[in-house]
Amino acid sequence: MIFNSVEFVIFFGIVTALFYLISHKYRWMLLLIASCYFYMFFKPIYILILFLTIVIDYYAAIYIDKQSGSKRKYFLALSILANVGILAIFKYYNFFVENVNGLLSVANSDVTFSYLNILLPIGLSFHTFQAMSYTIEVYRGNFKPERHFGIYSLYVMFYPQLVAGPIERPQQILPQFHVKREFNYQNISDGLKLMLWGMFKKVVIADRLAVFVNQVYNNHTDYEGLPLCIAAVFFSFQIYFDFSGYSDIALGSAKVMGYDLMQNFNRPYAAKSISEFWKRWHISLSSWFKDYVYIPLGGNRVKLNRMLINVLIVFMISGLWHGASWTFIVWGALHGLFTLAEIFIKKINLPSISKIIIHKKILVFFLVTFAWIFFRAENFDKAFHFFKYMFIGIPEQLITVISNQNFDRLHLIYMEQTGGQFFLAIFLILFVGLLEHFQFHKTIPEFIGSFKPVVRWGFYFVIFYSIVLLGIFDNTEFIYFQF
Amino acid sequence: MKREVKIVLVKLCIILCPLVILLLSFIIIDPFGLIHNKKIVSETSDDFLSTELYLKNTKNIPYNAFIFGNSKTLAFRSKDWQKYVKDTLIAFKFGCPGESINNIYKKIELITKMGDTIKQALIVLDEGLFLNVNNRHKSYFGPVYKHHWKTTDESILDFYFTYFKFYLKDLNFIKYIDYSIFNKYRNYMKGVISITNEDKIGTKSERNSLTNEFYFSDIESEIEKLGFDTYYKRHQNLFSVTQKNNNSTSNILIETEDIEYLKQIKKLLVEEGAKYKIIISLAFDQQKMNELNIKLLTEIFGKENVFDFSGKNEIAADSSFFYERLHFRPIAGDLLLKKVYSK
Repeated sequence: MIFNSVEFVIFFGIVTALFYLISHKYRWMLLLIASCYFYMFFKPIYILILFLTIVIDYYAAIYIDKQSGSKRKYFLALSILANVGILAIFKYYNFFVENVNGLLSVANSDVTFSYLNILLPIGLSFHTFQAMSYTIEVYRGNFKPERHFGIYSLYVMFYPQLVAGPIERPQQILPQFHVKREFNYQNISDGLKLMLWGMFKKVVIADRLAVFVNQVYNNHTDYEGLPLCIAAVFFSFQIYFDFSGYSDIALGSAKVMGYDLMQNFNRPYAAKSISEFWKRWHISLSSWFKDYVYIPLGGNRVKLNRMLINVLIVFMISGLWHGASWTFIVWGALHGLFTLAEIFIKKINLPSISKIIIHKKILVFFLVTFAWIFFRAENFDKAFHFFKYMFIGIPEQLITVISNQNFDRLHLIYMEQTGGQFFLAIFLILFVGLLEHFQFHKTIPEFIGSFKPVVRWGFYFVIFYSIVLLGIFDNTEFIYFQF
Repeated sequence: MKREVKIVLVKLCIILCPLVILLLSFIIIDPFGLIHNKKIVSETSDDFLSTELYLKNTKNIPYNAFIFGNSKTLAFRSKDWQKYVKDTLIAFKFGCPGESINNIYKKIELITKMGDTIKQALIVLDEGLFLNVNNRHKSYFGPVYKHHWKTTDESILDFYFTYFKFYLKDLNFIKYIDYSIFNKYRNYMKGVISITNEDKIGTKSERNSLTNEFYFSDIESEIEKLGFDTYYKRHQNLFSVTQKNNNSTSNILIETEDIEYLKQIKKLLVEEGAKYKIIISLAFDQQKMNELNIKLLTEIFGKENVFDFSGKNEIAADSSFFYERLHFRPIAGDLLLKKVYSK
């Protein structure tokens, strides 16, 4: 079930109520059953895949801890192979076959390989990474294996973060499942505030922006100039509000029960460099790649040219993690190239383009938006259409938009929606932008909590009833569910 | 802890109070006739009302004949159908606006689950039922084209939630509450409260509570009284098409998913031992359905069961057989049935 649904609201209410009603001894069972139900709501049979990886990783970690010397590596390799193998089959097999068939066709071969007709299990990329981080941390000696099979299963399947993260480390979350959680007003309050804010970002803003973005991306050949630029910028905000909204709901629903998940976003569009962007965007994934791919490859400790290759590899793998398509790999590679450029500029002490922070932020936003075009376009044709036409005819379009003689605004600015919807979307982006600007380093619950009671309650009412009256609930999934 | 629980619950109640009031008003006013069906003031799902009627009646009435398809099924009346078949028909018209092929399949499944036998079936098809056209079309019309949850994968909660969303959307609830209290139609209610017939015809249609058939008595009496030419002049805007004598063939094709459903429909009808006819509808602009679709339908259902009335023919050429450009009259439906059963 998706977070933005009536079923989830009911599910969450029941699970939370039962959580506090039953004894701590049985809470892991309740949460595990609830998480199984949550997962099976999508496609029940796929829980068997989850179960298989849980069993493999549970025993692999125990044997890693028991064994010594090189034998430990075998069990680690088994765990990683099992998780990556499942990912490879379900997510990448058809992509691999498509490329092999393409190469064979170029070589005039009659051989073709058939595709697998299978659906991608929801959240596969997330829970396999979380499972791998467990066995790796045990292998590194940073964590003792969890002996309680049920609690280990809960670590993998904990429903708030099961399908789209944050990708937790075992040290952060597993011990929490052993600690008795008392009913705590502050946890409930903070959790509900986060959920409310997350839902607002998703159903009021992200899904509203999606209408404009989808209109342009689904009919890209009908557009050039302004609408392409606006759609590209809107997508930058859509994906941020969608994913950070989801993360807030995930963190909030865990917080209500007293569990703390890691922060996954930290005002990424306030970043002054690409490397800073990746410390603020999808933090759990970027830190996973840093700790388990980049650093094992040598990190910063190798020669410069090797380091640059490592950076590019990590970003390209990150792109591939997002989707089995060359457009995602190119998206990752672009971020890799931007990061390389920054490293290079720093290494040779080139003066920065501007000392003014806002200029840096705008540049980073521009680069990130540019790369998002590949992320959103399903193929290169679409992406290249954007690059080829997005700056064509803008001055003339601006003139026609101002006069609006032939209702040009409808096509060029409003993208076949109403002016009201367009300006509401702009207003909402600015509203959240300003809020995040004044938020500084406070969390959302802390920030909202700092208001005077009248303002605070007014805020709750406005946000809640914006969700009720302005929310778009057309069963739109979260963007990151597809990964 | 008890005090803290109370504080949380009280604060939640304060925030949720207006929403609960709105929900109660939705239940009490029931503008879409989904709950107690007293007074429907908004356009609602005909499919929901039809399916509810069927579920209510089937407990006591042993239906054995069904008409499936979209709103064009209004032209096919069971009393006309009875003239051409030997079996005694206890018919139910399951056609509804915005129908789709997969929904016809689900309805047949529902009928078999309810224990009714399908002796005779009429399936009235046109491109509007195909997936690719259907989805585009339905997206513009909100809750009007929603199917009953028993014939979709949607939960009952989601079904009612869609209508509640529409109730809240653009502050529509103000219009519903205003009308419900003052019983007075105001201009700002246009598009939401549908009790005037400024833009529509057929608002005085009668739904037969046994067969679920519609009969537009007001339009038929208008045509009878004034003659079709006058009727046509009065409602010319409803007939306007770019080309009445369209020589073209449609390029809309049945998609793979729909093909599977058509095969499943055939399978269910054969299991029921049903006699069935597939009628490809008249088109006011006389555009022909794509030959590949017709070929596919004859392959699945048999040439003897598929009757193509799309394209040019003497019935489609005569505007007097139509209420407007989308729907033809029962006299046309009777003529089509005569042709179908005379072969």
